[in-house]
Amino acid sequence: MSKLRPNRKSGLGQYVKHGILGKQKVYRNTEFERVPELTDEEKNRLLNEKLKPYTYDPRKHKVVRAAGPKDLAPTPTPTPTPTPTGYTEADAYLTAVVDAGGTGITPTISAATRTFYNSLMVDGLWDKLISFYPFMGGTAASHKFNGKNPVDTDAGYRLTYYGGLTHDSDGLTPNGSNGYADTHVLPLDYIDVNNGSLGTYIQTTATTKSYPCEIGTTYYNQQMLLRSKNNANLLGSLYAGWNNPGTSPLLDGMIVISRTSGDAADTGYYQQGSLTYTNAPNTSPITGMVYPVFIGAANLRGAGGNDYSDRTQSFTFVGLGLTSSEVSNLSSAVNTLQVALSRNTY
Amino acid sequence: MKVGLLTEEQKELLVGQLYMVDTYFNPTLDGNDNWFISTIEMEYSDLQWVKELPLIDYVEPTTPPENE
Repeated sequence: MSKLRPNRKSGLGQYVKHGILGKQKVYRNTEFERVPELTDEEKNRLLNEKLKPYTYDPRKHKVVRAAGPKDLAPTPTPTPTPTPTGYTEADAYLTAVVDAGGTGITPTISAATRTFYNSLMVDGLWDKLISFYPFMGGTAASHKFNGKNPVDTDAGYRLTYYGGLTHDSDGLTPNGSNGYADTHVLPLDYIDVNNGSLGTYIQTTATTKSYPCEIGTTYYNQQMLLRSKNNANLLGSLYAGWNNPGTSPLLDGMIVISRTSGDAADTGYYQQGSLTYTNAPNTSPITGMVYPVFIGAANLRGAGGNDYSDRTQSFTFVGLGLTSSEVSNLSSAVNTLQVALSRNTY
Repeated sequence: MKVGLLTEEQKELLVGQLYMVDTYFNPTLDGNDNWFISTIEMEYSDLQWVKELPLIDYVEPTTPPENE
């Protein structure tokens, strides 16, 4: 079998033989025509001359279907963050109570506590409470824990006690002369003039005190207080001056003062979950709200307790401003917990 | 209500001292400018001299609350 090589000497149009010896065929040499070297501009010009301009002809170009959502890049569906059940937080609190020597934490009480924490989560109250004290376990050591962060540190807002207080299954009882608990909560770290609340669940209204303060802190005319006057009317202040509801006699159970705006209707006193009085707001500065909130007395400008109370408290909180419905929900949840603990007043 | 009467020196000894777990003494002035502690503090303290403080009737201070 012969092998033909390109006939490099042949010119364009000449003939060459190709194939097996004896069966060769004759082909015409059709080498490429040599063209002169072109510049890029010349190449582009020649190319454009060869190209036909594009025009859209609907008869020639069929649209199979219009672009739709399937043609778009898929948007990831945001996964909704489930509302925490509160069970983990409740269990942490109960563990702290029991580890501190608290008693009476039965399975029924544990379940009720979980339900209470769940209510705080579901009703959106958890983030609005700076600290709260469920006073469970019946001892000083078990009552000190902040239910929101039950660690044994000042930074965790556990209570530190001063003077005469007693502790039992009903809660914490200051002696009315020198006993109080320091929450270590500095209001100005959280609140502003239109945003704050205080509340406590009191066992009785009876007292021999003239102006017993259940919870609060004061700096001259800047005050965050919840108290009563002459064994009768509920008083309170957020955050300048204090006001006597007058026609609102103090009731036992949950009492709350809350402010959510500069409107009069949004500064209210609540008893057993119901709004009983609204207060004309003020816009005074609250730069003096830098001393910790006391329970069982008012913190007098950081110098110690003042206006001591002798009322038993079964639940107490410091919070951001709460709306009427939030106060209602919180009061209901707290009272339900008190029912389980057999210390409800209503 | 009875309370334990303190001298100025005794008051200084108790300030900042715990009398039981998590609970500090709180010497306070009554309405007659006497320093006192509560009977609860006396009962739970381990200090014998505290347990033996003389008892007086508590007189509530008459100073009205701030900004009434």
